[in-house]
Amino acid sequence: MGPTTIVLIVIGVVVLLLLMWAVGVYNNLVTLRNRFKNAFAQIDVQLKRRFDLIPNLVETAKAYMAHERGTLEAVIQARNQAVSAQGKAAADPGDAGAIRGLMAADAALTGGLGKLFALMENYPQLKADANMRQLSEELTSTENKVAFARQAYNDVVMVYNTARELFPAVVIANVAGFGAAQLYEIEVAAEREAPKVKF
Amino acid sequence: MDFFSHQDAARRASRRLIVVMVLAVIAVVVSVNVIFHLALAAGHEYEPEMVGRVGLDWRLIGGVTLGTVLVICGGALVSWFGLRGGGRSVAESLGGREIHHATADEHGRRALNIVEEMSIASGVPRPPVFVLEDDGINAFAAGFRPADAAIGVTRGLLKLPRDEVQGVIAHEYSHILNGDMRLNMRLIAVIAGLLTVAGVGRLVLDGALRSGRGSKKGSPLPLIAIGAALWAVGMIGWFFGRWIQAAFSRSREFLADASAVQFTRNPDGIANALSRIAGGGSGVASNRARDVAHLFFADAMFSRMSSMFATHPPLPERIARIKGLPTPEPVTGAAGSTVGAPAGAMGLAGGGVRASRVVELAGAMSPDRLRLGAALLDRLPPVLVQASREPVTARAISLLPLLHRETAALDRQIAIVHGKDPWLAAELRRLLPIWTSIEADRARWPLIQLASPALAALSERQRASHLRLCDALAATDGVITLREFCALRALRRVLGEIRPTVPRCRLKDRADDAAIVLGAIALCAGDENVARQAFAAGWARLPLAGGAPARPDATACAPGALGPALDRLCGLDAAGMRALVDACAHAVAADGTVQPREAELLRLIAGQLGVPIPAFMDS
Repeated sequence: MGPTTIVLIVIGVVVLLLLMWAVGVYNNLVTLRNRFKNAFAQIDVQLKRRFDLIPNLVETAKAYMAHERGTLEAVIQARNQAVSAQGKAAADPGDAGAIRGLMAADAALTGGLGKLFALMENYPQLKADANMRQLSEELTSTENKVAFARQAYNDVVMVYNTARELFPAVVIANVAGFGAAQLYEIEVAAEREAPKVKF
Repeated sequence: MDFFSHQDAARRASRRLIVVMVLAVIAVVVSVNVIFHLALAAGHEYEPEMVGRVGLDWRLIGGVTLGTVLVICGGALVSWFGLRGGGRSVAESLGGREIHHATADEHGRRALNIVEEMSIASGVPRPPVFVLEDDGINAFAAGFRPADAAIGVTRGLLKLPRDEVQGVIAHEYSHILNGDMRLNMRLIAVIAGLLTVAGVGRLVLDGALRSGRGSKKGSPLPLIAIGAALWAVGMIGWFFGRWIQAAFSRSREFLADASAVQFTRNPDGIANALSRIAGGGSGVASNRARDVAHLFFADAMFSRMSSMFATHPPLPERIARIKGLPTPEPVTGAAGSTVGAPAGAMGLAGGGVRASRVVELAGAMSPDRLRLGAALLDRLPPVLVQASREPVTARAISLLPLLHRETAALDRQIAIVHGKDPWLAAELRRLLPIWTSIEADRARWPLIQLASPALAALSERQRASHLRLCDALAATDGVITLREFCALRALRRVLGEIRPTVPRCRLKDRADDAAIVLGAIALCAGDENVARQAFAAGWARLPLAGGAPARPDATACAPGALGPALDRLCGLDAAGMRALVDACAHAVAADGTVQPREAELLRLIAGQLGVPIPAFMDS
């Protein structure tokens, strides 16, 4: 029983253990990636609710603010673009580009809504309208829900990104094609404020 | 067999299987040793000066055994870590996407409704539903215990008629109720370990063949021989493992099918689903699918293996067995019977249930209960049901049971919540009137069960934060009631706290712990006299020799003692658990009938012991 044989066996076992560790890391990354994709679904749910509120809101406003057609149209446009961006992101939350697209469209919508609510200050009758009050209330509530879902998603994304960046897991991640996930952030500081509705 | 016996049978099977698996591992290790010795003996022929050294080489044996055991354990551990995260992890590793009411299509929402109805009917927390994008018809249930269970369905299954979808989901639910899942997870880990040896042999073989092609000298024969032999031995271990897995799986599957028929009283539902699978195939494309094959409803393997190794019984046999099952008739009265208790006997005029009937309701399912479950779901306030489905609002639902009735304390609690999250405080204020308007018990527990998966979907940070909030709320008045204590423990489990497994035990060894639990219940009953009666009534139901001990006082039953007692009691065997739940029911019931208000407490305690008691419903 030569020493070479012993050495070979030992090396063999070590290599095996390494391979098994690698498989474990791979499986873990797969699970974490699916986890953040599922966490995105919660943002999806709340954004859908938010986007569904907009048309009704705009219709109610139109009755009082007939002259402000430009602003109203802009809001509807922004909303439609956000909806299509949402579809792309929901189809594959692992696509960082799609998520960034959604973030941008959502920010644009928030900007448009901000302008709309600013204009509403000039229309006290609209502000007093019961329907408008209820819709604004729901909108604010939904903003909070989006923020909460975003927080959960970002938490899970952080876990995934950290797992794939740690050495030596990063080697396997790069070889196996696990890209970094995109955090869902509100980029523009000015638009960080949810539209404040004060009655 | 009732719920308790099912759990016992699953545990016994689990023990048997570990023994057999260990034998398989030993067989594999011995075979690998033999191979290496033969290889070495053969190899010596190439080195003339070494000829003559034959015989057992203990260093070699030691090394090879160690190596093989390491490899097998390593493979098992890798698999185990993958499954450790619970049902949700398994579903995610298979690529499942969770579906939600707000964004699901019509078929998805229907499946979600079915799962919600079953949750209410069985008293088990609602599992999240994951969809695998696959046109085949298949489903699985994964997770170690009901609290972390998940149900997966393929796209193809969702398109089937409602009664077939319900039949298949009922089948998966019965796996959860029967305690199959912990056993299944263990099986998967061990088989993965055995498979690794075959995998290694394959690697060596491939490597040797490839290097042989490249070099001038030709392939190293011993290496090829070793590789091929390892692979062969590995396959032996694999076959051994799969055979056992399949044999075990088969009997559980028939049992699950039978239970599902019992649930829905609709043999056609499952039979039709199975017929469709026989016609259209049920293969699921996923690398992990091979590992978790026997978690799946039908054989998820693409390759048709011979019937001895198929992980699920052959479809025609399953269909025949289902059609041959007698449709369960309602059986009245006899203690221990759990099949289809008639709705009328469940609710007396006052809405209470006779204490002795409670044990029969545990984990029991029947077509009547399923219908009543659906009806109850319809009657729940939609606002609250809606809130239970999403994590952000489910937090509010989970806090509602911890809120005080008395205004001053309530205001303090809401202020605490406001300090952490004003939106949540507003949400609580919005939901509270609706919550208090529900009849005391009928709908509260089902709502908490429905909120369970949404809470589990919170991120780890959010979960920890929410738990701190719950603790703060429970501590507002400095006193923690039994209800609050149990509700908090249940919440902790939903939010991911892992409980260590407890050794099996008999009731007579845990008499002290049983006394603590009954004492705690008795303390809630009222003054000294009432408490003494309650304790005595409960203790009388326990099959323990000797008279009742002194009723434990308040300090003996404090949370610090009650918690560990409940933990230890989770290991009771079937007879002991049944007796304990019966005793608790009698201790809770003031006059032999468990009223709705008392039932909530009973449910909380039974839940801590791992026994699901569904909401009582009258027709």
